[in-house]
Amino acid sequence: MIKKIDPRVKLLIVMCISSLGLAFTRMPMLLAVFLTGMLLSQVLKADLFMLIKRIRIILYLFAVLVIIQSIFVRSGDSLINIGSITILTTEGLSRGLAYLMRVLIILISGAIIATCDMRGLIQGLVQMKLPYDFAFMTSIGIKFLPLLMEELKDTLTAIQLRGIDIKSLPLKERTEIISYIFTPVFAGALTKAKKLSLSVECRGFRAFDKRTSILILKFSPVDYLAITLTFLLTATLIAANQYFI
Amino acid sequence: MNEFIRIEKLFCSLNKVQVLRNINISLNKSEFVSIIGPNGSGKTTLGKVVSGIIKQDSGDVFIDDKNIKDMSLPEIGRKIGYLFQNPDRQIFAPTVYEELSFAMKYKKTATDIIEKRVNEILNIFELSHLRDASTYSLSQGEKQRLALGAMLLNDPEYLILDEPTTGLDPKRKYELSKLLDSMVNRVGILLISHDKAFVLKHSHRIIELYDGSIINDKKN
Amino acid sequence: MRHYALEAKNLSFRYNQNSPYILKNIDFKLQKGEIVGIVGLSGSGKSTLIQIMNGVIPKRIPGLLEGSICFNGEDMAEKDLSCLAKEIGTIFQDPDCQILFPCAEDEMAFGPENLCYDPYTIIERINSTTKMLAIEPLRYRNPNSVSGGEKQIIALASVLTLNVGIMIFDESMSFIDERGKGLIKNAILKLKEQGKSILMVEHDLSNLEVADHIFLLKNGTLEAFKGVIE
Repeated sequence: MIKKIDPRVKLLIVMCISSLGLAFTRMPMLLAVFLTGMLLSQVLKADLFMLIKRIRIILYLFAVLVIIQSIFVRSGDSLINIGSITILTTEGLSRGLAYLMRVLIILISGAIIATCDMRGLIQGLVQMKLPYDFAFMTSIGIKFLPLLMEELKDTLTAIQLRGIDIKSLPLKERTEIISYIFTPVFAGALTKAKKLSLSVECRGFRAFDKRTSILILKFSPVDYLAITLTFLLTATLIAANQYFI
Repeated sequence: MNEFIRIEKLFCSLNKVQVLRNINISLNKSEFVSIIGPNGSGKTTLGKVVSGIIKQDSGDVFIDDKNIKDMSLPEIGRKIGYLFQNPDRQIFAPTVYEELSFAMKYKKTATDIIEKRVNEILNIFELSHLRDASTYSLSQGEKQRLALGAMLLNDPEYLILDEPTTGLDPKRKYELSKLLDSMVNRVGILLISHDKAFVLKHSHRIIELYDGSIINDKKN
Repeated sequence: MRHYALEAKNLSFRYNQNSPYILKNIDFKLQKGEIVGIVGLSGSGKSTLIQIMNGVIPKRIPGLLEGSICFNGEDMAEKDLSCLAKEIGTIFQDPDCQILFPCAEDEMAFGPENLCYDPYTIIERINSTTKMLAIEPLRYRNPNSVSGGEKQIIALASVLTLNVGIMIFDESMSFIDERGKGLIKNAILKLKEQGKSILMVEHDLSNLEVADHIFLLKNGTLEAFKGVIE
């Protein structure tokens, strides 16, 4: 039952928690949104673990950003000092944490969207009056990212099978090899994209302004319940935020 | 009987679909063995598991009596050369010469030896005239010969060829055929193919897969 | 007057003024309800000829095209590539460059949905296509997790659901095993019975056994095929 929740409902949920995440500034409220998001993602059976595994590399970047955010804020009482230089202030810490919360909320939103099948999501966007071209292009873009990763991985495997132990090479040579790989992988992806677009056009893509669909989404009673709950939750969180101020 | 590869009770699944079920094979270097079977029978997956590209669910693969679980990809690569079905996947240098010298360069081989060995391969694979050509501009057959040549420069003791006849016209197929004949005494070969005529022509032994299991294993 | 499904008159092609001719003075006719095969080695100009026949050249890939090419008596130059989709379907060589969706059924529905066919008609077409190709078990599978040959059959199915009159096969059997080839050849014969016109371009002569006529493309010129190629 939960699995069949309409993609549009999931989009609504994601829109609500991510805009609350961006609108709220206070730590306790952000934490509340984060926990609500966590709860919802679990109810919707989103695979958070898988998502984290996929974007491991970007997570480091976020960690660095959190630290930078914290260090460059000078207001508030000092927490950590080296000699007379203040490294971290209370305000810096809370800003850093707030930033971290927001990133986590966006990640949860992504994981919730990832539970939709691509077709359902496109159809959801179309039925929300978004042009099909746009919805289609976006989803193809999303499709290409894992494809690129896969090809990079394949090429790396091929290099290692040539007997080159990449991990034991000095950094300079390692970067050299990585730059070697990028060219063919991107050239390959580009060729593939061109061929794909030909095949798509030969199958009548954009032949008319309209198109039909074998899939028409309909809200079920569960969907209506979920929509109501989402609005209630959002309203409660906003009210709580007002009360805090 | 100098057994080189031993596969024991191998099970493997891809995207939660069982692809290989209880595979037991022993392969030696003096044999030309072919794996045949319809699309989706698990041929390619078997080749990829043996060369360490895909990890199995259970069971073991031994190369030269060493479990591949304890071997790194480069270690396996020095023993086994794997030719991908799509040669684009294993060609990454900008020119033919660079592609062939690539691995030796990073293994710190002396320049004069690199030069000598690359020229040797260029001759055998009839690529000398393309020495400085961009790898991007090569035809399917040329790409394949290049990939095969680059692999042989690694001195593998065994070759796994995944559908090498795909995309080759009859003339190129005949050339590949000649090439394999000339290599058969030097290295062991495992050919994965659904090209019946080609398989029958070269193999000493044919193993047939169906739905992930071996249903036939006989001398040719 | 009865028109040819495809008709090329004195067709020549080169990429620009300074490059050599890839195709020279090609005259070619495909009658309605006929299967014609073209065989040629790599580099003989096969892919170029196909791209001209389905309008990709010069509409998407620019070049100097001389002579004329018509389908059902209409000049191809006057039609939009997407509009040609209603008449001409092409099955390409590499299934990876044809498949978009993570579910085979969506892939098969994509074309007819673009052409605004009624959803019930589309479902019916998917039913009959999967049955004809014996791929019912693949209908809800992810094309990226099936084998290369099965993927190509899905690609074929997603062109068949367009229900076009002219079908072009561009070496589409390269990745397919004997059983799959058998299925596709059977499908081609059935399509012929339904009155469709089929052009098959292959480098493997054995794939052309279903063809009514075979031509040989050699160094950019087309000749009637006799005997065996060396």
